[in-house]
This record gives sequence, C-alpha cells and structure tokens, in this order.
Amino acid sequence: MQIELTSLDATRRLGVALGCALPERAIVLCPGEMGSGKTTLIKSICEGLGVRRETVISPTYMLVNIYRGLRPVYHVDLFRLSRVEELLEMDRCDWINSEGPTLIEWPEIAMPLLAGETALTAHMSLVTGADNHRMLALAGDAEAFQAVFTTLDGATPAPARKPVGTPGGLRDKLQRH
Amino acid sequence: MNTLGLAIDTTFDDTSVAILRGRREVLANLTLSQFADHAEFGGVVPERASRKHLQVIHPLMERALAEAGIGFSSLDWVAVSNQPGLLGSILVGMTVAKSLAYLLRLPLIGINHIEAHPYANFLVHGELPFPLMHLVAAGGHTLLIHQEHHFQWKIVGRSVDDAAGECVDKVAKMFGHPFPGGPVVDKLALAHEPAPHRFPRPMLNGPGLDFSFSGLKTAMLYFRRDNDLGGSGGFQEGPVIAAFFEAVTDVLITKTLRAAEKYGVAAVTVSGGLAASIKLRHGFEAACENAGMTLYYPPPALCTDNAAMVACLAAYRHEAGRHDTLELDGRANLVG
Amino acid sequence: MTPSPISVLAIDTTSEFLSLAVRAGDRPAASRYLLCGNGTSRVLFREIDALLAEVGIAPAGLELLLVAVGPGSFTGTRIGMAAAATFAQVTGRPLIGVDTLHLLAAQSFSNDGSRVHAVLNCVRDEVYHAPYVWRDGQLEAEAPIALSTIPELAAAVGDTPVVLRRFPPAPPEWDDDLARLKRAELRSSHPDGLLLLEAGIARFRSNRAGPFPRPEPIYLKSEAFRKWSPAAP
Repeated sequence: MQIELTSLDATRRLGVALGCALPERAIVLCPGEMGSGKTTLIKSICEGLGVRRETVISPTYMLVNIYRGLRPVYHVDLFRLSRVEELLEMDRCDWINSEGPTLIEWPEIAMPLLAGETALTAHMSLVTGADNHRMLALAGDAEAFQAVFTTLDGATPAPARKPVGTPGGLRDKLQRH
Repeated sequence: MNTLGLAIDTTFDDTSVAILRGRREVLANLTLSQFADHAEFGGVVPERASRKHLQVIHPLMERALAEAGIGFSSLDWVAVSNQPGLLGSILVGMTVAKSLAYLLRLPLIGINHIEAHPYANFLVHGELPFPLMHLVAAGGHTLLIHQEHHFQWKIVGRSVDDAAGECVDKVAKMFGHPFPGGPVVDKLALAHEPAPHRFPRPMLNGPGLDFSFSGLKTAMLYFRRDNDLGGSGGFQEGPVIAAFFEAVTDVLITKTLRAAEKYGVAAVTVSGGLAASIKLRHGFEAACENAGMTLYYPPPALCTDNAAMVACLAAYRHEAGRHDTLELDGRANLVG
Repeated sequence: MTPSPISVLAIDTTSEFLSLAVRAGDRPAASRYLLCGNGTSRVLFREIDALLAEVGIAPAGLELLLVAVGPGSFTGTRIGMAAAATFAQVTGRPLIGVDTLHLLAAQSFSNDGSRVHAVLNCVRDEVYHAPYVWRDGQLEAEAPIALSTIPELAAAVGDTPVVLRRFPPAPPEWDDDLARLKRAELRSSHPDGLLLLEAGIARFRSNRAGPFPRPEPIYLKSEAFRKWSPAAP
C-alpha cells in the first residue's frame, strides 16, 4: 500500500491511526534515509499506542528506548550497528518486545534475525521538489495486519512517483568515508 | 562532617569509580572509557558495554581505594547511578554497590545521573547560589533543569528528537569524521570563520524551552549532498562545520538564557560531554556577561561522565539522610 | 580423612530463577529457589540475608564464594557474578565459578561410571550441550560444549540419557524431537544451589593451594564460546 503524505500534519494523523491499529506484539520495520520523516512517523505511531509524544526521542545512543504506553513500546535504532553479530550478542528480549510492539529504525542489519517474524514494513521516502512531501510504502502480511490496512485504506491512494534515493543508500555513503 | 564515600557510575559506556571526602575533596576519580573498544561500531553496543563494566569494575575499585589510601572498612556510604542509561550496564554497577552496602553495613544512595551532572560545578566552585538553571548536554540528552534547592529540581526543557550531542556526532560522521564527533567539530569551529550560509535554528523562535536538532541534522544532510565541498569555488568544510556548530551553540545559549529569565534565575551552569567544547564555553561566557548572569562551568575532565559528580550529589544526599534500600531498582529512561 | 568444613555461599542468577545455597561450618546447608524474572537485582540481598540468618552466619564469616557463570541470561549472569566478585573482593576470600551445563548434569544421580548429556537451549534454533561422566562422585566433562541443531544433537547423544533445560521462548517445533531423547533420572528437579555448593566445594578441595583464576562469564553466542571449553573438575 502506497500513501502520499503531503504535510507534516498528514504524516502525524496517519502515524497515530497506524499506531492505534497495530496488533498487540507487532514488529514494525521503519527503513528510510535520514530526513525522510521517520522521526515524525514513529512519534505518531507511539502516540497511537498511548505514549506521550514528547517522551519519544532518538534511541541512536541507547539502541533501545522503552516507553510506557497502553503496553510497553520498544523503539529500536540500529543505525550504529555494522554487523548482525553485534545483535546476536544481545539477549533477544532486550530488543524484541515480548509484551508489546517493537518499532525498528535502520532495520536492514537485523533482517537475518527477523526471517521468521511477521513484520510490517513502513518505508518513508522523500518526494522530489516539495518540503514535507513524503511517500509511505506499507507492506506486510495481509491477515496479520488486516486492521492496519483496513484503517488506512481510507487514506488518499497515491499515484506512483519516483522517491529520492534508495533505502540504505545514505548509510552506504556514510560508511565509505 | 568529613565522611568518606565511594560512588560508581556505569550508566553508559564509561566505567567510573570515585572516592570523596566530605562534599568535594576528591580522593580518587577513575574513569575507564570504552570508546577505544567501540570505535569500529561508531558507538556503544549495550551488551558489550555491560560485559566491559563487569570486567573492569573490581580492579578499578581496587585502584581507586589505593589512590585514596583507604580500605573498604573506612567508607561511610556507597552511591551508584541507578538511572537513566543502559539497564544492563546500570545493573552491573548497582549490584556491586549493593554488595558493598550489604557487606559493610553502609547506607546505599541511588543517584539520578542527570541530576548529578551539574554537581561537577559544586565540586569545583563550592556552594552555588540557588535557584539555578542548568543546561545538561550529555550523550542522548539535552536538558534544561530548574533547581531551587538540593533535591528540588524540574526539567523545564528537553530535546524532543535528537539531542545536541547526537546531532553533532551524526553531522561529523556525514563529513567523514570518527565517533565521537564533538572534539573535531569544536576544533574546526574554533579554527574557522563560519561560512555565510545560515543553517536553521530549530524551535529557536518558538515560545517553549524544548530543543529539536533533527531538522538541523537533515539540513546538513541535504547541504552535504547538494554541495561540492573543497572544490574550486565551492564550500570549504571548516567554515561549513563552523556555521553548523554556530547554529547548535546559538540554540543552546539562547534557550538557556531565556529559561533563566523566565524562571527569574541569575545563575546558569553548563555540564555534560558537550560542555567540554571551548567554542560553546566562549559563547556562553559572552552571552552571560551581556545578560548580567553568573556562569558556572566545570573543567573539561568533569564534563564527561564521571563518578566524582555522582559522589558530590551523594554526599549532600547522605547528609540529608536520604538513603535507599537494597531493593533499589535501575531505570533506563529519564523520569522527570 | 574428612576435610574440615568451611562456610560457603553459592549464587546462581543465570536464569529467571534465583538459586542460593549456604553452608556454615558443619551445620546443614540451606538453600532457596525462587522465580524472580527481571527482579533478581531487587530481591538478591534480601534473600541472601535471610539465608545467612537461617544458618546463623555473618557475611564476614564466609570463607568461599561460588557462582554460576552461565551460559544463561546475559544480564542475569552478570548480576550474580558482580555480587559474588564483590563479596570475594571485600572479604578477601576465593571465588570459584561453575558453568550451567555442569550444574545441569549434576542434577542426575551420581552412580559411578554413568553418563549423562546436558542440553540447554538458546533462543535461536540451536542447543548447547556437553557429555559428562560420574567418577568417584565427581562429574567429569567428556568433551567441550558443542553448539548443534536438534537433529545433530540427537545424533550426538545417541541413547545417553539427557538432562534438558529450556529457557523461554523455546520453539514449539522442537517438542517432538526432544521427546524422543532418553531422559536421565534426576536427584534434583531443578538447578539447586546445593548442587552448585557441592560442585564448587569439590573444586575448592581439589585445588586447596589455589590460586583460583577469576571466573569469567560464559556468553555462548560470542567469539569466546569457540575458544572456551569446560574446565576440568
């Protein structure tokens, strides 16, 4: 499902709706470049999960932030990891929530460990030419995330448009330095 | 009352042990940084940090006691940072502190690491006049704290997305510099006149005291992508970084002074890792002189995480009889 | 000649259960075993204190510290090790570590010459296991710890009885395969602190002169695993 988000406010409203519709222990993967609107989306998803918006901050340093919502919410950021082995060294319960949803930024490195999981991918990308104009691509098991897709079906369907950059492109660029 | 206390801080990537006599006589303040270990990852991996803490904490205590010239039996209290930070790491320091308190029958004092940062100033400047406005710019936090007295404090402003230090680290990385980026950025900002390009000062004109640095980071990303640095006629890295850091310091200084005014406070303190920046310090000195405010700044060694600041706050807590039980819990998130 | 009894505290926090045992001189040993999940750090000292009071000994009277070094929960293992190492540092007494697979094997009856295979799941689709044999009331490891899939395990174990421990969440698809393994008869239904006491004191007695190397936690998923093999008893 592709959803066009033409303003910050649209991203907010969509994020809140998405958060409300998430299954209890959903894993949500949030790829997307720096500046693609992940912060706004995740803050809003958390809001939909009953977390105070202002408590949602970047987990880049901590790797995992745990927020108190209707259920505990794990906000994970794997930006700083360079090898999957680093994740293997952690207890899985330290980064995958067993009592509520888990939202993962920069999830690419964790993919081998999430192979068997039912996850929703929420990929934000920039649309050329306008500020705060974003494209959200949602993909996931239709049955497991039925509530999400049904809820968001009312959102404006977006025409196909070329997003700027490719997922992970920036990361590669940064790591070459 | 010259009590002897031992404080432990393992909230993040540094293992630190300090021994304090009275309120501010530091007999030992030893910190083992894990940056060397983590450099290849661009920061701390929590599980690795926890392992390292367990590996080094006991030898480090041994050295601290030797440096202070005392034994365990001379101690009057034990303190430990129990929040906020990496829970697995906190648990190592906390278990060691609890074991000491239990075995030696000493009072245990659990310390909020963030509340302790400004006490680096009490260590070196003596009693500070309350009320105070503290800017704490440390690791993942950028906070404005209004303190009316010891133990009476409130967070009145905070980063709503990326902290200032995080923004600096990430932008430094964009320009190819190793983690942590603070020292490099500070050096470039000192050496160069800022480029004429004016980068955004997020939330500077808003009424609130909260910070947002995510937008500035994004602006730098686009700038980096769209401009050829170092090419003929293009931008030079030094001036661009200087202009970027000017935006960061502008926001931090302006908001801190605005908060001080709003709460009718005549003295501000700056602490946390970013406070080690000379450029930021110069900016604060000029702005505070201008505004007629008193400024307190710790020496660079006490800006980054250290157990001496934890010990200093703990000494006040001990005097006030504010102790904790051995059932003290660790907390990852900042509450306040 | 029976060696003179000593006062010993044993701490095992490698799982969601806290397991403690203490022996004070020639008095009978006492132990505790309680589920505390993530709350180990909160209850640890209350429980140690109650146990020491029960056998009538002060912490300063302890002569030997024993600790389970994993494999198990990383954070949990560190709590027990941090406490035990601090006790040893303050009292100046020796500290000896015993690994979890050894303690698992020790749950079986100590019939001379009998073999047992200790098996421990980790949260991925593999198990850690090692074969042991009882000789003169002592467990001896017959091979280093191995990391295997369930079919590989079945081949390695053959008809040797196993002692199995599963940490949650264990994949349910293993149930059938694991049910086919022959189970050892157990003298203790869980990794009792008393077994740690027994194993640790045996190691202490076999190396009276010391020195005792500082026990290191076993993080099985790390590089260290490949270099590590169980210490000879």
